[in-house]
Amino acid sequence: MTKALIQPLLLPYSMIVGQDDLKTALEVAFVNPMVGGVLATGQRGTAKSTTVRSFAMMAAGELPVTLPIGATDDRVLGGWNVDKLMQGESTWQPGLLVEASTSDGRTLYVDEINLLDDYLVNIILDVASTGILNLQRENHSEENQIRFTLVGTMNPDEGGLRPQLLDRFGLVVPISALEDLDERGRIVEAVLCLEEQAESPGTESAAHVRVRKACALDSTRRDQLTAARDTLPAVVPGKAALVACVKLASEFEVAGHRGEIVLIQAARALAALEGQLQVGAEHIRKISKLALVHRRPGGESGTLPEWTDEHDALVNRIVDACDW
Amino acid sequence: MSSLPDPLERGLTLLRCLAYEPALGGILFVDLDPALLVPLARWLAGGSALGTTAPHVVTLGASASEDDLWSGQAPRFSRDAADTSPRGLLRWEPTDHAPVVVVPDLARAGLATVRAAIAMIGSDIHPHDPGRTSGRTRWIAGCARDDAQRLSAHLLDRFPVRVDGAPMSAEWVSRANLVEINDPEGEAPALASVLGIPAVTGVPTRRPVPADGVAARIVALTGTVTSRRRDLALGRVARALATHASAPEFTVQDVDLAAALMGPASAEPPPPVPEPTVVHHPPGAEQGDEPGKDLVLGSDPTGDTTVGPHVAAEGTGARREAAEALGPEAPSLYPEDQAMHLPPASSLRLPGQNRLLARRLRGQAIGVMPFRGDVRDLAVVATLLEAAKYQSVRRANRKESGRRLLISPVDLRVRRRQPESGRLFVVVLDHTCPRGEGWAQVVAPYFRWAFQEGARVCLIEFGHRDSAHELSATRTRAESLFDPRVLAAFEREPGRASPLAHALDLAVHELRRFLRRGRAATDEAVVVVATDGRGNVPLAASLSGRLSGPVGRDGVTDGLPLAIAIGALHRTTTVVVTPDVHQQRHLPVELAEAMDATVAVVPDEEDLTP
Repeated sequence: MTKALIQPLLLPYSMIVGQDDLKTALEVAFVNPMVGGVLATGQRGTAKSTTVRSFAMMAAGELPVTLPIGATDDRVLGGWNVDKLMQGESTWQPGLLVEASTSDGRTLYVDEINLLDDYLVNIILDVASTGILNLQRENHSEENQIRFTLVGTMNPDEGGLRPQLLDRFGLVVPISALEDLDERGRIVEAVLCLEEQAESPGTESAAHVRVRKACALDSTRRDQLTAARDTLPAVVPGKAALVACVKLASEFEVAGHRGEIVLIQAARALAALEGQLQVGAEHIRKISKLALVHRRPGGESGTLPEWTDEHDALVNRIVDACDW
Repeated sequence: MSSLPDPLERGLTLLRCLAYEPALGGILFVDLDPALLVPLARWLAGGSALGTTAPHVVTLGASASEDDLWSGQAPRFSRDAADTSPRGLLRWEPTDHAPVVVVPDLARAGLATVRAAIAMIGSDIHPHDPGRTSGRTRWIAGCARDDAQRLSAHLLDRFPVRVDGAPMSAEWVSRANLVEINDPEGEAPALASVLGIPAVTGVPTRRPVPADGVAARIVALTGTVTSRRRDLALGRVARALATHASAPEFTVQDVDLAAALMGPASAEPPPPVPEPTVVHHPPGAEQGDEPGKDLVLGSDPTGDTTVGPHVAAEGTGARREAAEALGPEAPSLYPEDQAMHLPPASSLRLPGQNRLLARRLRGQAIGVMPFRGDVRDLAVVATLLEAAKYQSVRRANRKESGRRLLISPVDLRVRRRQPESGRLFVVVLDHTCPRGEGWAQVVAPYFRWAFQEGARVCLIEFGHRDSAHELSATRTRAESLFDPRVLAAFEREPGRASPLAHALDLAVHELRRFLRRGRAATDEAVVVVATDGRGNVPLAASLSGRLSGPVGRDGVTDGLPLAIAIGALHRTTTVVVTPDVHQQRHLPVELAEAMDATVAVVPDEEDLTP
């Protein structure tokens, strides 16, 4: 398990301004890992990575296991400890997939995932979706049960992910730059406040108070998420919810069945977060965009077709038409 | 009216700000003499050493590879042992200071350097120990102004602080003794005399706090800029200015001064500023570099440039002067704010030797082979198994080795990898456009190149009757020109819809995929677009699969930004092959201009007839 050497300078999760969709997606994936991974795609400088790391610190108390740039398949899958081999001992070093699976947060984070070699992305997504790491390499045979949530971030300016890979992510969050000046001002205040308190140790200022309050809020949120995880098994999707998910997948021309499965699992997590034992129309309404935006036809080039008000209206029509 | 400090002081002031505020990440010096970058980096590093160990300066040239940065050299074998510990230019012990990284020419930095910059700048996550934190690296990069226009917005965003280095170089030359700087031995002392004491000589015990209105002023100044990094950089520079002046808080005036130092940092002019108030910095501040004294140069009422009181009291005046200082004709230091700025897929190519090596090291492993002088792709198990065969003989001859495994150079095995082509041939075929008899003759050189180079082929076609979704283009990847799917594409009947923009969208993504991703960089790509330029399907309709409302020129105009994106790619040759149409002849020419492409006109059949 990876532990931080020094406390990272990260905004407490509750001080993150905006990013409602990404926060929802991360929380849903945490509460119900069956949802699959989360991909945040958006322009530069929109705090994608910050949000992911702050969430991990809030939820698990540690940074997510992160795939470093330039990682090789040895690092991802594992390999022999060469130093030990040279001493005549054979010691297998687990890779990042196992490390992520055994970490407290059970999260593997890949920044700039669209810059990763395709074959590495394929390996990671295969393991993330099957939960099995079957190693047959370098005279080493091993099968591991692996369970982690894959979280990726990317800037679509650098190129997209293939639809087959996009489909493996349970939820995709398109992130656009904030235009509201008040919100932007709050971002600046929050970051400067954090840096001020971090770089002025031994003093007590308004910044220290604010950050401490935010950390307390994070702690409360962590408890809520843990409680939601405990509640999840009791949350059942009613017939109306199932019908709505299937109809949504059908109307949005989603290929395969992963779309409706993710939709219902994510809706269950949302219900659990609200302490409800029944999946309601609002849960499906809220999560539809994140579960379906990347599964519609037309994204072959890697450019996600825009999600418009018309799509929201279609979701509402379908959900309202079900017998709740 | 006060004025900005001279260009050299301005650059040094921002460097000091970087010393106080490592979260700024780095500074991009535009048009600065590259020879000054390393001394500036040393000046920065020397002044920010917090302990006995000063941060070291790492210079990343054009040929730095992923292995150079992260994996380090190959394992080193000695007589009795092997040292396999990883090394790399960007590796450092968590207990050490993070290095100051110098990139002499960002436009020619290798792909590995660009990726490292994007991942590391502004982050305090240790790059090679996932989940751990470490100090922040600070990056000092140089770039020619024209080249900056071609850098990716993603990369430029990591450098929210930029300095016009041309006047800085001129100022440096004017201050230093020309005789000394022409003498190699005298250059360093001359530079040191100009730079003075290191960037920061003390560590502030307490950060200034933001005064009322600071955040609002920051976002007003950065206007419609997309990235929040610019907002934060402005705030951090303002705070550094106040930190240096030992002020208890930083104010709107500090923000204005920071904006003036950073140059026109917003896409739009700032809104009117309320009447500024006096900055409440401690009285008695004197000239100099030490904390507690003013940081920047200003003008006194007589107009002489001197070290003086905080010039921020002039509010937007200072900022306006910064814009004027750049001159009306100077291209912006922030080209990514322009609406038409599109990212290139990659920086310039790595030197040939490294490309060949990189190509050998990629591709699927299909076996092992004896070592031939390069152990970077060592097959460890095969090597050890080979060595194991001879242990009894070797140990008998070297009894002092005991039970240790004895490896000889003849045991070394490296991976045999499936060769991959470093060439990509992208063909965009518009079936609604008549090709004519002379077509084959015109495109033959490009197909011949693809054949000779063994290029991978990406075929993008649209506007034919076989299409399942006529509003969209389709993409086919093939290992060679002789793939039956490629050959079949030339036999299709024309359809009605012409989703040219979608085809170009597919082409852009395909090129970025091959040119930019990971270690498997493609060395060269040729793009042939065979069309008359008459697209009649907007990109949104292609992506959504639904056509709503009148199309107008959208089918054409949607494609132009994508064509510009293709034209901006390095290592890419583009050609527009068009029939000699009699209507709307300007369309293929517009497309070719956007793509920076050669236009090859297929002659009429009549012209071919003797």
